[in-house]
Amino acid sequence: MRPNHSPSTAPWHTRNGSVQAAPVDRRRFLIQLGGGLAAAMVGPTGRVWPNTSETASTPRTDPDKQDRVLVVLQMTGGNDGLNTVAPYEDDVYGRSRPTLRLRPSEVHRLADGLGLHPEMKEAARLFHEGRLALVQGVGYPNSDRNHPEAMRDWQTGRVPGVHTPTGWLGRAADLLLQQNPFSLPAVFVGRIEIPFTLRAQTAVVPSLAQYPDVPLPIKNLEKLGLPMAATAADTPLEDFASRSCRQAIQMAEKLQKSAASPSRTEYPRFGLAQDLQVVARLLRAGLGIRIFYVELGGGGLGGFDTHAHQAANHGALLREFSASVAAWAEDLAKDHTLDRVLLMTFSEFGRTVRENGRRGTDHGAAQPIFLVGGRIRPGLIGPAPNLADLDADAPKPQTDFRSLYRTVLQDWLGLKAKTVLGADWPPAPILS
Amino acid sequence: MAQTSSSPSPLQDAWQLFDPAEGWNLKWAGHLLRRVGFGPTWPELQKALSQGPQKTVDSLFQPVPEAEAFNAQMDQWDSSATTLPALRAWQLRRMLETPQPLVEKMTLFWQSHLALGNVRNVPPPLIRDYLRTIRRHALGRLDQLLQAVVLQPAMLLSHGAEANRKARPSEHFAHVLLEHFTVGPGAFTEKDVQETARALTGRFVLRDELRFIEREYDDGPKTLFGQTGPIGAEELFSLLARQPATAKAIARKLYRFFISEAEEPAEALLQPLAERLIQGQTIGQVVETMVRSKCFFSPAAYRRRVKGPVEWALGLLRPMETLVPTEPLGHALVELGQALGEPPTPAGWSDGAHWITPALLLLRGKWAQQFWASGSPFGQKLDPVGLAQRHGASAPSAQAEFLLQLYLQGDMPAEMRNKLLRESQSAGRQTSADALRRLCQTLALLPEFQLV
Repeated sequence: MRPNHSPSTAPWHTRNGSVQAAPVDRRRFLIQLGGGLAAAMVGPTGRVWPNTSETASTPRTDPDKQDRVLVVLQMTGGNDGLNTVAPYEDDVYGRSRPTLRLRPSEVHRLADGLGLHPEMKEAARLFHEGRLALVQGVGYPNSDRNHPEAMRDWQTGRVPGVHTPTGWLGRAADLLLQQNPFSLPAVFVGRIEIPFTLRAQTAVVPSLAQYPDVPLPIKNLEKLGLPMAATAADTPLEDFASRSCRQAIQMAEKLQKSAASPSRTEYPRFGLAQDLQVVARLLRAGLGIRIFYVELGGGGLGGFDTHAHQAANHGALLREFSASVAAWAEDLAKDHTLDRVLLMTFSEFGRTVRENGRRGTDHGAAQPIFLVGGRIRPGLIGPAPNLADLDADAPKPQTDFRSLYRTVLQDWLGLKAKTVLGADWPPAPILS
Repeated sequence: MAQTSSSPSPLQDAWQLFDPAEGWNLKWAGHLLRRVGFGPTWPELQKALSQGPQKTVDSLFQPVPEAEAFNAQMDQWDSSATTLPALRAWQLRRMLETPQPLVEKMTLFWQSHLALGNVRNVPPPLIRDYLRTIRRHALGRLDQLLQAVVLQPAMLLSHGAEANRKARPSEHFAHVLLEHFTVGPGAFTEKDVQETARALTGRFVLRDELRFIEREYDDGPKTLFGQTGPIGAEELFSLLARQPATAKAIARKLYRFFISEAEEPAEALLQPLAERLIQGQTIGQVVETMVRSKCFFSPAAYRRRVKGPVEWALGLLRPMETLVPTEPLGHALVELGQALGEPPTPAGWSDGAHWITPALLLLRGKWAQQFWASGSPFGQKLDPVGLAQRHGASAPSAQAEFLLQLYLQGDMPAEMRNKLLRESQSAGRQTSADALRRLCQTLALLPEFQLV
């Protein structure tokens, strides 16, 4: 065997210097996990991306973290962070935004000189209850200000110098599936095309527009008492197929049970609220889904891309966000489900400080990120953007987004973050 | 046959001709036709049963008179496809109707092995050209296949290698070529990547066409896998095709595709296949060796692969002997995880158990329901009662038995079979047509039907 090539051109393939070993190690790894069953399915092509031997030595999910769930909310278009969390006493802010600036009397005050948009009453309440936190100034150096490229960076986790064919949550889903080959690691709930973030090498991530019905053929099988229990004569593959089929029937029962006992929480009539309600019902169904993905802004024209006449559109989206997330958090708090859930928002970028003459703002850089859950570190995390020190009229990043990714992957979901992100990032202090 | 036995003789035996005297029946006919095509029909099963395995395989490799007209017609039709979903629909139509099922099956195989990268910015007509090129070379010589497919505009564009400048060779694409398409991980060095990228310089995609721009070609000497010279693209592909590591990697994939993915094949099993490729045998000849062999007709191969979404869906639909709308079918396959024309990564589609996780079986159930739902675009076409009658089953019980034979050649535990037959008889308020539809839907989800 020849030596592998150096990390300079393709760190995915080389970071650990043992490319060839990966499939073999993974096989061994799965033998340990699945008692030989899962190993039978593993072959030279069935490996997770990136191809590192860390993959193979990833410890089992921390049992304390196995029921934890991550919900990622994509705000499509580039959310104007400065009018979401407004530094309403800042002179630069006031001067730069003659028509758009939010006034002290209308914002929901979070701290001295910092307030949430007037339409975010419920979010402010969650903040004061300690269920919503804000990470300020999140981004990355020299960030792209074009929509597709910037979105791609956030969705892949931007591994420097590498063509990344999968999304960061897709890679996380692959890892989760490796740990439990019968699991459903992730789902997308929404009506737009499934976001690239969820693209995986192996895991198939379903896209659900609504709470799924149980298909008739599954009910038929259940009625007939099929398939029968596996016999010793079965090959590992037959055994897998038959176990999987029986688990599908159990999954269907859980789906039906959760559908039959809806929560009494009233959700507002927003698209996002309905999606989050589906997430809540799926959570309660107990299917073991670890990653949910929802989206706001991509369904209609422009979304958060508010270049002109921003005020009304932006306000409407923030109202949808605030009311929907708050109803959902309340729903989940009732039976303490919220304690094992973490919601994280992101947008492809923030926006410029200055208004652009059309009562809108243009593509910027760093942005505030919302966290919602029962075990977040409450309050404001990270320093407020410094409007006296801008990069091309936009706030500079103070926290790298991959530090957040690292923390939710490793400290929340219990996965080895480096395997997903291709590099070590320092943790961010976002969990309690 | 003991595939993993340490004694060498069974392995040496493995690729020898299967003797039908060892047992030739409907079960093995179904096995053969599923592997070399997509869901056999009842007449195809019967024909194979009476012809025997070797004659059935002969017919896969003999010129088919109607192939030329079929391909011309399909080429004309799919020329109108301007979107990926339309292209998918035409590819599925070919899979359903082709007189050369093995060619179409191998087109699917190579579409995963020589995978496109990001197709978002690739015009669909270029993807169509890429597929046509694969189809043309699917059973041909490996070096010619590589040469023709790797330099397809769709390939270069999707991997970001549309401008291979002398001053900036595309090392990313060279890496994909070595790691995924040819020698495989661990069998090349950083230097090999650089030299491979240099050999591809001068190739550009301009206005959707491949161009060679001489002044951008690095004609200096290159050293690659022990050979030194002014290696250009042509020499590169024949050099890569001759590498034992390439032959081994492809032999392993073919083994997983035609024999078994349930266990790692022994070296001694792969070596004879790899040697045939190195000696310049065509891919078709190697496949032929495999599907005529004792190993192929043995428990080591029977139901030792998971049906991917394409194989599963066509395995349900094609035996119904009617044309279904293939655009919604393409959409079903996207949901089930196999978006034709758009494999997830340069590594292609992973095969194996991940296609049939409990959640994906629920989704398969959703589509099985759709296929035989009376109001659906599929359900209007599929007529299990009519089909069974055409093939001589007139009583409802005979019709149910016919479907078990059609889809599973009756190979299932007796108790399961009894339950299914009883259920289809105790129709209650439902008509016998409804009962048969339900039976089809239920068969579609049985563990036995998830394997090929």
